[in-house]
Amino acid sequence: MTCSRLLALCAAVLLPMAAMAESIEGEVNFTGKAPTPGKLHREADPYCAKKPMTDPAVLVKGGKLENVWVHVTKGAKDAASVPSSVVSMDQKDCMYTPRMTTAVVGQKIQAKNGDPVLHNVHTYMGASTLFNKGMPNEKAAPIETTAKDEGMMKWKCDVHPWMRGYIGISKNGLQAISSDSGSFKIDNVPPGKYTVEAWHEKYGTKTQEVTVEAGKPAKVIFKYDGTEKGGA
Amino acid sequence: MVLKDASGAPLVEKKAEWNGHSTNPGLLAMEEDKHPEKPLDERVATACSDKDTVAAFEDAAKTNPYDVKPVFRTHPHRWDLLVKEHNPETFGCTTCHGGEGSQTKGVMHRKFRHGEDDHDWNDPLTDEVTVMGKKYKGAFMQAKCDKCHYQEYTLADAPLLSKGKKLFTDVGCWGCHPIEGYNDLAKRGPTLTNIASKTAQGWAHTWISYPKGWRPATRMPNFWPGAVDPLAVPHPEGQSAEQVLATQQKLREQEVSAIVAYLWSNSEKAPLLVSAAPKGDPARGKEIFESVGCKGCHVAEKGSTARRSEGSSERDYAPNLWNVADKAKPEWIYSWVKNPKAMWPETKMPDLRLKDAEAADVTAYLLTLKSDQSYPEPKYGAGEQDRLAAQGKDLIAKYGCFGCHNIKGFENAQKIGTELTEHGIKAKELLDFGDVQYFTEDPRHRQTYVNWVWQKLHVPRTFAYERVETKMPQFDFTDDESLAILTFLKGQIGERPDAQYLTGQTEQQAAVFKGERLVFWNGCRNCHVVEKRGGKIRDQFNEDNQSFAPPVLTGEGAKVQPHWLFGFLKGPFDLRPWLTLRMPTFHFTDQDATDLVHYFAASSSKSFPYLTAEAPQLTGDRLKQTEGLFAELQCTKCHVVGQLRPNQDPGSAAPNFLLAKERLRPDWIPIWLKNPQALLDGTRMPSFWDFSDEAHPTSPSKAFDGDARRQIDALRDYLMHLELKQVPPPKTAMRDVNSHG
Repeated sequence: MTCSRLLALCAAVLLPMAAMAESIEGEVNFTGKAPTPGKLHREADPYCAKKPMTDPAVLVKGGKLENVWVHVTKGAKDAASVPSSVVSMDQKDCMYTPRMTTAVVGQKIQAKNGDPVLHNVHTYMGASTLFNKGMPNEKAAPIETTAKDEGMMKWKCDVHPWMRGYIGISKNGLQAISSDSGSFKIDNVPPGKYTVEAWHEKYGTKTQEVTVEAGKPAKVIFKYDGTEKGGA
Repeated sequence: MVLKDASGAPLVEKKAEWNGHSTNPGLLAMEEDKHPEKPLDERVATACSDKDTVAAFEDAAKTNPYDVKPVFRTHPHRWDLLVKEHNPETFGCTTCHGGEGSQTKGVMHRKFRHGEDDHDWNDPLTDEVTVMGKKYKGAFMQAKCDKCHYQEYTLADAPLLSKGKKLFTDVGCWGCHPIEGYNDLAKRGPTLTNIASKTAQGWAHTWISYPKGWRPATRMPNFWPGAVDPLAVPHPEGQSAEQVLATQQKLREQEVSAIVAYLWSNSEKAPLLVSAAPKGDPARGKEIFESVGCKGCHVAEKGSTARRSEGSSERDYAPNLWNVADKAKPEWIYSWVKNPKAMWPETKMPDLRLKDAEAADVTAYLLTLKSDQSYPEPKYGAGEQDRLAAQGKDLIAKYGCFGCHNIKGFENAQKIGTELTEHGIKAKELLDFGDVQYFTEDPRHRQTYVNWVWQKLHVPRTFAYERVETKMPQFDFTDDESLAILTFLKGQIGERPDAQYLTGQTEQQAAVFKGERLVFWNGCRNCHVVEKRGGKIRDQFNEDNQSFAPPVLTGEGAKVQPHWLFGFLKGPFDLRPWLTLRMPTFHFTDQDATDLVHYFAASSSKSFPYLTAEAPQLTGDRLKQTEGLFAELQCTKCHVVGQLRPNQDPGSAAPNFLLAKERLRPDWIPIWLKNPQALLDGTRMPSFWDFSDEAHPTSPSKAFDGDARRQIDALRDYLMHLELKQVPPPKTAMRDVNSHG
C-alpha cells in the first residue's frame, strides 16, 4: 500500500535525526573453563533421536559467551512505539529456535511447530506458567500471543524436557543478545545514565552502570567465570 | 437510621482526606457494602448501639461529617467478614467484641439480649489487651472466634488463634490439662513401656534432665527449670542464685535417676524384628533417606529449621535426626523404620514400606548420625534400683509424665493439671499468685488474668510458695508462642452459642473440619499441597524435577472416585512407579480413611460416598474417530499405558491411563481437558482446545467435525473403558504387551 510505503519513506527521512542517539556495545567474556556441552538424551522420541544434539545452554567460543540477554533496566523511557514485526519462536528438530531472542512489551509473538510430533509450548515468567498449549504436529495452527510483562519469558516443552527457548522482554526496547563472538550492540540509546543488566540462562544476572555521552558509543564488558548460579 | 450530615444528606458523599488518613475506612466500608436493602452503617448502628449513641454519632457528624463511623474503622475485611459472614443483625456486636457491662445497654437487638443470651456482655475487651505492660492490639478479638469456630484448626482471619490452637494440640498441653474437644487425642510423646529396647539409661538421664539441651526444638518441656536458670524458681529466703542452682541440680540428679530407674524396671521387650541390625550400606541409606520422603518431616542437620510445626516456628515437626545414633539402638532403628506403628501404635510416623535391605541401609546411615557427647550409664548397688524405682513411681505420678507417654503402672492415671475448658472466663481472684507480691505501679505487676497466664507460660514455677508446689514444667515458650496460646485459652469459655450460630453444622462443613484435623495430625501438608496449603517438601525440588514432587491435592475430591481413594489411603501403591518418593502407608483405620475421603469430596462439593462412574462404551464410527483423535494428539507421548516405554524420560511421564476407569470421576475428565491450568496451575498437561470463546471453542483436530466438546466427551468415554490391548504400542516401544495384560 502506498500509505505504508509512505510511512517507510518518512521513517527513512527521520532516521538521521534518531541517529542523534548513541549505542551501548560490548561483549560478554567467559573467563572460566568452558564446559563441554553434554549430549542431549533424545532417544525417547524416535523422530528427535534422528538428529543428535548437544546441550546448547552454555556456548563459549574463544572465551566469549553467546546468548546473554543484555538490556537496560534503569534510566530509559519506554519505547515510543511497539515494533510491528512478529517475534518467532519455532519448534524445529525438537528444539526451540532461536535459543534466545528479544521482544518489546506489546509486540506480537508467534510459535510454530515444524515437527511432525507433539510439542507442548509451556511458557513461564519466573516460576508462574503463562500458558501451556499442545501442538500435535506441523499442521497445528501457530500460537499467537503478545509480550505482556517485562522479564525473561521462558519456553519449555514437557514432552521433550531438553527443549528450551528464551525471549527477553523489555518496555524500553534497549536490549540485545550476545552473538557467537560474545558481542552485542544496543542501538538508539539517548545520552544518559543507565543500569545495564546481563542475564544468562545458567549463570544468571550481572549489572553495570553506564553513561552514554553524545558522539561516542558506550562500552560495556560483562564477565562470567562459570561459577555463577542463577538464570532459569 | 441513616447517618446524615448537617444538611440532611446521607453520609455517603465523601472527601478523600480524613483525620490525617488518606482514606476514610468508614466510607470504604460503605462502598464495600453491596447489601441491597439497607446500608451497612445503618445495620451496624441498629445492632450495636442504643438510640443515644446513634444520636451522639449524628451530633458528631454535624461537626465533622467524616468522623462518624468509629464502629467501622477497625473492622478488617468488612464486606466478607462482617456483612457477609457475621451480619450484625444476626450476630450482634458483643458476640465478638464482648461488652462494657451496664454501659452496653438498651441494645435494640432481637436475638441477642445481653445478660440473658449473651454471656460475654460483661467481659469487656478493652480491659485485658495489655500483657505484662505490653499492648497487643486486637489479639483477643480472635479468641472470641473459637466460641463458634471451635472445630476449625485454621481460621484465615484469626491467625493467632489458629496458631495457638495448633500449638496447644502439638505441644500436648491437653496431656495434663483436661479440656473439652482435646481429651481424646493420642498421647503426644512416645510410648515408654518398652524404653529399654530403644535406648540406654545414660541417654535417658541426659534427655529427661534437660530435653532442650539435647534437642533445642523439642516439645518436651523442662521439669527442673531451676537447675538451668535459678531465676525460674522462687528463692528460699536468704539463698543466693548459686545456692538455688546447686540445690536444684542436686534435686534433678536424684529425681531423674529415680524416674529412669522406674522406667527401666518396668520396661517390657519391644516387638523388635531383629536382635541386631542387619548390615547395610550407609551411602545407599543416605540416598534412600533423601529420596523416599523422610525429608518431608525430618531434617538431619544440626540447627536446621526447615521442618517446623504448623503451630510454631520454634518447634520441629519431627525430631531432627542429626544425632539420633546417640539415642537409639541399631536394632530398634531398624525395626522402627520398617514399621513405626508396630512399635508405637499412636505415632504419627507412617510406614514407608522399606524392603529389608532398604531398612538396613537406612539404619546404617542413621547410625552414622552421632555427636561426640557421652552418656554415662548409672551403676546401681544391691537393691538400689528397686529403691530408686519406688521413688520414681511417685515422681512420675507427681509430674504427670503419663499425660504424654504410655508408662506401665499408669494406665488409668488421671490428668494432673487444671481443667482448661472454661479457663478463658476464670476470674483473677481464682488464680493463685502465690507469694509473688505486686505492690508496684508497674503495669507488668498487676494481678490480671493475662499477666498470670503469660507468666505461667514463660516461667511456670514462679507462683510456687511453701504451701503450694507448682508442677508445671517449663516449655520455654517465646512471646509469640505465649501470645498464641494465651489467645487460645482466652477463647475457652466452656459455653457454646445456640447450634444455629456454630460452624460445622452442615454435613459438608463437618466433614471438612474433621478431615482438616486428620490432615493436620498426620502431617499430610508436609508433602502435599492439600486444598491450597502446604507442600513443604517442594523445597527439595526445582523447576526441572518438580514432576517428581508429591501431587497437589487441591480439588482431589472432584477428581477421584471415593472408593478408589479409600482403597489408596488404606493401601497406597506406587501410582507413578517411576518416582523415588513414595506415598507411605499410614495404617489408617477404616473410619479415618472414610473421613479423609469424605473430607476431599466435601472440600470439592462432590457427592459422597456413591457416584455414577459410568461413561458410554464407544463403538463403530465413534470409536474409530476417537482412536484417530487419541493417536493424533499423541497422549501416550507422556501418559503411561501400563508402564514406562523403553527410553521414556521419567521426568516427562504422566499418569497411567489404565488407572483412569478405576480412579477418575468421569465428570472431572472434560473439565480437566478443557483447561488443565485452571485446575492445576503450572501443570505440564497442555491444553489442546481453546475455550476462550466458550461458544466457539477451537480444536487442533478435525475429528468429530472439529467439534471440541464432542472430541472431549469421546476421549472421556475412551479413557473410562481403556484396555491395554486397545492402545497400539507407540512406535518407540518394543513393549511386551503380554507382560502386563
